[in-house]
Amino acid sequence: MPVADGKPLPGAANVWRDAILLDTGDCFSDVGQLQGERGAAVSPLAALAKANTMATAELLVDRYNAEGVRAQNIGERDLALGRAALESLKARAKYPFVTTNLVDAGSGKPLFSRFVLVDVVRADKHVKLAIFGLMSNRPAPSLEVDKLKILPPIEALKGALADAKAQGAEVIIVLSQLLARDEAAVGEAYPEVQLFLGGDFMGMSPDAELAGRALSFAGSQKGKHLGFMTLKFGAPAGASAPFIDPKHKASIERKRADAQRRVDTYQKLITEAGKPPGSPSAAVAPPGTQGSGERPKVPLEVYERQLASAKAELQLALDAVAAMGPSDADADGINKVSLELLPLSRDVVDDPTVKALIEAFRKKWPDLTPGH
Amino acid sequence: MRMLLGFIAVLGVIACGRSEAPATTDETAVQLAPVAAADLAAAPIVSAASGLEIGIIYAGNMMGKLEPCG
Repeated sequence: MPVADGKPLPGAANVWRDAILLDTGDCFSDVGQLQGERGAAVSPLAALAKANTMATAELLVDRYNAEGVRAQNIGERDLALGRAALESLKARAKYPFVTTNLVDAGSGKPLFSRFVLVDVVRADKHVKLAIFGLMSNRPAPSLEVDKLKILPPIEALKGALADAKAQGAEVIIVLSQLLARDEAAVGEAYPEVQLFLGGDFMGMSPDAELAGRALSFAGSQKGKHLGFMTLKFGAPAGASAPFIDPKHKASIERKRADAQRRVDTYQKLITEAGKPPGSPSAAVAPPGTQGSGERPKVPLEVYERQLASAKAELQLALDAVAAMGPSDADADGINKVSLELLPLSRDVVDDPTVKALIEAFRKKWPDLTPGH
Repeated sequence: MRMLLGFIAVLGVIACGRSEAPATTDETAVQLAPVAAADLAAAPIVSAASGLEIGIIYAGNMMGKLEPCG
C-alpha cells in the first residue's frame, strides 16, 4: 500500500483499511480569496474566486463522501464562505460537520453537530469515540453578517461533553481550530479530553504537545501532509485513560536540549556585550554580524528578552520531563498513541480515478493560487 | 507525471478494498463493522477495548488545495 515516497504505511494494513477519516477544519477556503468581499459590492474577479472556491469545496465534499470521511470540523477560514454556502455544503455531505461552539447568534442553537460518536468494533473488542470540533473565538467579519456566534470553547464543550459521556463515549477527541493557548485551557478544564488533532497554527511536526492532560497533534497545512495516527488500548483503567506517545519523551528531550543551547548562547552574548570594545572576546558576535569589522550594536535588552524566552521554554521542557515519569513510554499496560505526518511529496502514488477527476475539474476551474 | 493530488488521492489509494461507509447521522453512533448483539453483551465493560488497535487518518488546514504545495 504505497502512499508517500514509495514507503508503505506504518502499521498493519487492516488498521488503515478500516481507519477513521477526519478533517480538522479550514478545509474549504483560503480566506485570502474571499477576504473583504463579503458585505461589499462583488467585483467580477471576486465573484470568480468565490465560484471557484465553492466548486472546489463541493468537489472535496463529494470525494469525502466517496471515501467515507466520518467528521469534519469547520474553521474560521471556512466561515469566509458564508453561512448559506456552508449549509449548502452540509446538505451535500453524507457525514457530519462537527462544530461544538458555533451557534446561531439569535437562538443559540448549534449550526451543525456538537459531536459525533463512532463505535469501533473488532471481533470481541470495542470502543466508543466521541469527536468534537472547536474553533478559537476571534473576530470574523462574516459572523455578524451571517448571524453566527462562536461560543467560548470551554463553555460550549461542557454540555456537549456531558451528553456524549451519557451516551457512552469513552475516548474524547477534539478536531481543533484552536490556538495553542485555547487548547491548553480546554485541556486543563476537561481532563477527559485525550487528543487534539489539528490546531489553528498549521504546525508540521509529528511531535505531540501537552495541552492539559491531553496530547495535541499538528494538522499541517495546504495538503502538505496527512496524519496517520494509531491508537492502541491497553490501560487497565480502560479507553478513557490518557494516551501516552512513546515518542513524546524523546521530543521533549530534544526541546529541552534546544532551549538549553539557546540559554547558553544568549547568556554568552550578554556577557560579551558587557565587555569593552577591542577586548579579545569581542570577536564573538551575534549571528549575521560576523566579518562586519564593527562591534555588534544589538541592544542588550534584545538579548535579555530572548534569554528570558529561552529560559521559560527550558523550564516548560524540564517540567514536562519531570511529569512524564521514567517508564511511561515503554510500559505495556497503557493507552498508546503514535502519529506519522506523511508528506505528500512529488512521489506520491496517484490514484488514477481521482487524478482524472482533478484534471477534468482543473479545465473548468483553474488553481487560483498555483505553487503557493 | 508530477501532478499531485493530495488528500483525496491518498484516500483514493487507501480506499481500495474499503467497504462503503454507512451513512452517518448527527450525534448518533456509527458502527464501523457489523457485530452480533450477543458479542456486545458478552464483552466485559472495563476491558472491552484492551488490545484494540485503530487507525485515524486526518487532514488539516487544507485551505481548498487539491494539489499539495511544497
